Amino acid sequence: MTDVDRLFRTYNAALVRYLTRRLGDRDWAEEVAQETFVRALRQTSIQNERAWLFAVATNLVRDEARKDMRRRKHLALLAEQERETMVEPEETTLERAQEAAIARKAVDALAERDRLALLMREEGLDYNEIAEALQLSPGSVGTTLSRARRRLVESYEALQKGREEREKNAAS
Amino acid sequence: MQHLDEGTIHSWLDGALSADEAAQVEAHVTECPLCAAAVAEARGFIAASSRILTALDHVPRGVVPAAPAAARWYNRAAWRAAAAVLVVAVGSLVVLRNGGNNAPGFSTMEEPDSAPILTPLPPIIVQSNPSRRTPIGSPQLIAPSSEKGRVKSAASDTSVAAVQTLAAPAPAAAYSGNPLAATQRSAPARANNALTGQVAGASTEKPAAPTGNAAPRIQLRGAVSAASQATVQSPVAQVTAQEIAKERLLLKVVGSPRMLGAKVTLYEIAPGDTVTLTEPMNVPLESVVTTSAGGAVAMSAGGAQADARRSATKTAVAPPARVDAAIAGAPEVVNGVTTISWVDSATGNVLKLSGRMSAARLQEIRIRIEWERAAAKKNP
Repeated sequence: MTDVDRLFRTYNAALVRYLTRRLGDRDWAEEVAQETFVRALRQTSIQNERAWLFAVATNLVRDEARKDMRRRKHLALLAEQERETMVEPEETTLERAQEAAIARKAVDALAERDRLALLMREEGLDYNEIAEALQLSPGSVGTTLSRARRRLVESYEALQKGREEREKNAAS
Repeated sequence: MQHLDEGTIHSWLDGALSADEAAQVEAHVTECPLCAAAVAEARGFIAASSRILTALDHVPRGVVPAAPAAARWYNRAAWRAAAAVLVVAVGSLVVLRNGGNNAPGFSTMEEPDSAPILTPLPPIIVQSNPSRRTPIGSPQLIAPSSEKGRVKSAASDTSVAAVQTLAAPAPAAAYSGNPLAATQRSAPARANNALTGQVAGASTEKPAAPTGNAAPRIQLRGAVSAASQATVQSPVAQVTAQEIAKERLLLKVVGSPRMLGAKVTLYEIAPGDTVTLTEPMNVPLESVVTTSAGGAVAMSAGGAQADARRSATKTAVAPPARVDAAIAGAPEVVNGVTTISWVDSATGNVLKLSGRMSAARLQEIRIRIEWERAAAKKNP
């Protein structure tokens, strides 16, 4: 029987961070992480633990994402409105929230596989683990990551520039 | 060697190439200014994307996607009032369902003038799809629009409607009428996200004199406590997401090791934090005698806990532990592990809860366990 306690202690933080970045919602991320470890309980043994955990978590997200896509889009729109009609800005959190919003958009603009590969890499998974978790050939991971990183940065910079332009126009 | 493609460069920078391959790349980069420039650019992308992804870590809880802390619609006074009314409604409902004799004992509310009076709600049909990712009172429930200005003025009209809808997920949590609640322990936690700050702030849990039997009130406190426990440090009650403590009470069963003559359940309440609930299989004779005392014990424990929570501090308060210790039997501490014990009002068994934490915290967890067990009993 897998030692889920140990798995949890070792990987939960990274898994939750990965999921939070993927989903944009920490509570949801923790739920998925929890479900992932529950499934680990059912395994007699796991070969490549980190790859397995990230693969299961990713699949859980995929399944749920399909179900809730429409509802989430609706809520995302409303949350967007809420952000824009903010009443009292607070110094640091406003900045961070704006950065987070742009980062969110930039990340969401990536192709799913590119996004997932990059997020896994950020949690320290090596190329073999990423390949296993995403069912890719190890040789293609480098190309996937290079493409993901370039596009993420370019999207982010474009969005940032767009926001600065808008602010400049609003001020003038 | 030919010029390097992006994929190879990133593989090299990520340390994914074999020693031989890496040596070749390194040699080439030294000689080739074009590829050296490409490597520098790749380094830039790697660092920048890392930074960008770090920005995604600053995400408050319970919102899809991130919303600024200052502008939370559920912090408005009218919603707090609505939530206070909800507490009463849920309380009434719990007591009514349990055939409680009298009024709930919530004699006052903190904001009685702004809240519409609600008669106890009829048994609520649990939502068939209580999406746990929908914030309570999600904007589609607000009649005119989701704009803030409107919400403020229309709140008094919509609060009743909102409360009725708000009430749905809470009873879902309280009664586990929904099979989902049993399997998704954190669903009630999330469903009550918006309420917990209000519950903690608005509910006045004065330990009223016992009227009728103690059992309904325990459950009531359990429901409210569980709701406020569910997200103890919800962003609703705090200013910024960063100030939220990591404390969240999820009762996750991580094991049921067998022990002779006892049923043992392991709950994981935080990464690395487990508590053990031990329940004897046979009913000890002594426990029958102590049932009524146990009932009173549980009640004052609940009341004491409510007081502790009302002081709005995160850390355990000493007085409740002392009250409990005096009545329920002193918590034992052995090798850093604290054990509290009490009599289960339903079975008359003496239950023990152990963990590496204060007795007061164990008491909080115990209340949550009792509440969940009671909810589970309603829907076996």
